[in-house]
Amino acid sequence: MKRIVVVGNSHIIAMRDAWHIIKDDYPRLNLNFFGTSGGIFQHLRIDSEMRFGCVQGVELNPNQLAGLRRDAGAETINLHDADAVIYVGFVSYERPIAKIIAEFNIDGLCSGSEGSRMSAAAYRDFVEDVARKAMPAEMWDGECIPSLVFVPTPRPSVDCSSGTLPIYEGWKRLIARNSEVANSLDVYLDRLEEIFASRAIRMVRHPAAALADSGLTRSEFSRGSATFQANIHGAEDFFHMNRDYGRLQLIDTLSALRLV
Amino acid sequence: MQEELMASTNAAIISPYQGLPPRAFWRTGVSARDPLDPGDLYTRRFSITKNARIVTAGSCFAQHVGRTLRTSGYAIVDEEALPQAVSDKVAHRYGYRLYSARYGNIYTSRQLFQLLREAYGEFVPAEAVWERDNRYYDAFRPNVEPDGLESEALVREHRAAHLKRVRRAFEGLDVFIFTFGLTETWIHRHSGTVYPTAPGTIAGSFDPALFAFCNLDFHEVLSDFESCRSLIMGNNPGAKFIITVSPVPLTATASGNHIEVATSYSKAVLRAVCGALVERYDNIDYFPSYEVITSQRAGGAYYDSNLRSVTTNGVNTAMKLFLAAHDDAIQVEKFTKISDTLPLNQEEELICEDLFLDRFATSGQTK
Repeated sequence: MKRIVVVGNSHIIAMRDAWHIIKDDYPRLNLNFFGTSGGIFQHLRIDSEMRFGCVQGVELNPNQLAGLRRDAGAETINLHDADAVIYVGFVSYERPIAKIIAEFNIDGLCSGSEGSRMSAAAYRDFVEDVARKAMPAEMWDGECIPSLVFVPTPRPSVDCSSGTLPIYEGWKRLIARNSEVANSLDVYLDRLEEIFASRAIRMVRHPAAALADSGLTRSEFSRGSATFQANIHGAEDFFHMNRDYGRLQLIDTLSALRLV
Repeated sequence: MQEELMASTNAAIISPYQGLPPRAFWRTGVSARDPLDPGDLYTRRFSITKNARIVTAGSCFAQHVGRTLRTSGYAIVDEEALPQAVSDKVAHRYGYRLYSARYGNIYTSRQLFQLLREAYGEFVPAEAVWERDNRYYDAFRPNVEPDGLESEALVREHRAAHLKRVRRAFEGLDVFIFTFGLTETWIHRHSGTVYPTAPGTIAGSFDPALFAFCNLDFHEVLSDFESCRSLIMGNNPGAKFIITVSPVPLTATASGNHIEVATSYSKAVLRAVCGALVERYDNIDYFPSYEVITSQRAGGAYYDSNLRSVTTNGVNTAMKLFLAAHDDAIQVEKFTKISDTLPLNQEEELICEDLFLDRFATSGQTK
């Protein structure tokens, strides 16, 4: 039996719920989920004993600590005896890249925007710059944690066209565009993947079957999603995905681990 | 005017200088000032609110102006904006986030007028694309693509899209801040097209049959800017203007004069034009960044060891004076906190085409 620890913010819920459905297909795997809302998760650390969570040096207020216990069922989880660790919901910085794609016509990659032109060289350098910012904290070191896999936050669903929050602006403008958009985003993910690999971390992409032509997530995958704060999909929440998405993402992730 | 003043004041007054404020006298306005205190060198003509849409352009020094105002919370227009996730250093390499559109440095009044005319379809520049090593460069902003583009056609497509953004920037502005930099330029003999740098310096090649040196005089600079003002106000009648002169000396001169003499000529012309413009038009204000940096009271302290680049302290002093005059103390405090954390020699990060000229300098002794 292989022990896999899955840590993450609220995006872990989709995968956790999916695991209950598909676990019989993986009789040799035991998945331990340790997740909490992003506001708490961002403070958690790994200590020298390879325990992750509210370890020594992490300062959570009483409400946050109670939230962690409620969401994750514990204050820490052991990583040292895990055969693999999956980190769910890392901020991949695709949003600024989406904004660039929305506002510029990039030579050889995408057209159709009414905006200014951008050279392929400039886009490549911007991608490199942003990708470096997306790198996780140094404690996430693939040399120390065996089979470390990072799963990005989902792209918003195409339903975000009705969203009013500024975070959807760049994405909304991509919805009507063609598959060139997805190709341009792939250029970013390709580079991100390479940089992750240089730290011995594998990055799993969004499940292809869940993506629309524009590269955003298909509508049906965001319906019925949940967060730690709410069991229902908020009216302005187009980022959290449901169990069906989690299933596709989990299957891809387990496949990337090459343990099965 | 003088007679009225005399008549309305006490008969005991024997000189029109009597009763003038300390700033009117060299001893009290300059000699008695702390060396690095610009005092009350600037009195604004009109205020700029935080909501005013500001377009900036000009020579390299203008990059400081835009950056400071943006940092201080002013609404600097950016028609080719990148997400904040892209760092400044990388954005600047491609001409982003330097000005209100990606037009690069505009050193002369003629270059500004030409850009505006081109943006409004009134002018088609000659020799607009330069080639080097099979790569193609926009002759009017050669630094925005450091490695050039694949074809001449692509450069033209990029420029056409850029010009739309330039037009939008100028049509939507409330205030245009322009920093005059140079009078020396290179001109296409037949069309009158001017370039920000001599052909052959960054790309292209210099053909004396095609290009000639041109040192704009007072009347030309004045006429250029008045034409710019008319063009801008023709599409945007409420526009206001703040003009300033870059305190950065020339890197090189093709005038035949010594570089110091050439610099003095250029700056004198530009400063005199600013004076004339302020005299003629109520919607133009002059900000004395040139005087702040070159002040004899500062004794050269605002210049770097090359005696040309303005130090971070110099930039901050000038810009604090500007902020203090235009808005509340909160913004000045905010800028002071930010500027205190800026690295020294930040000016090295400026994108300046004219620095390429320095490589032509030899180390020979002056005769």
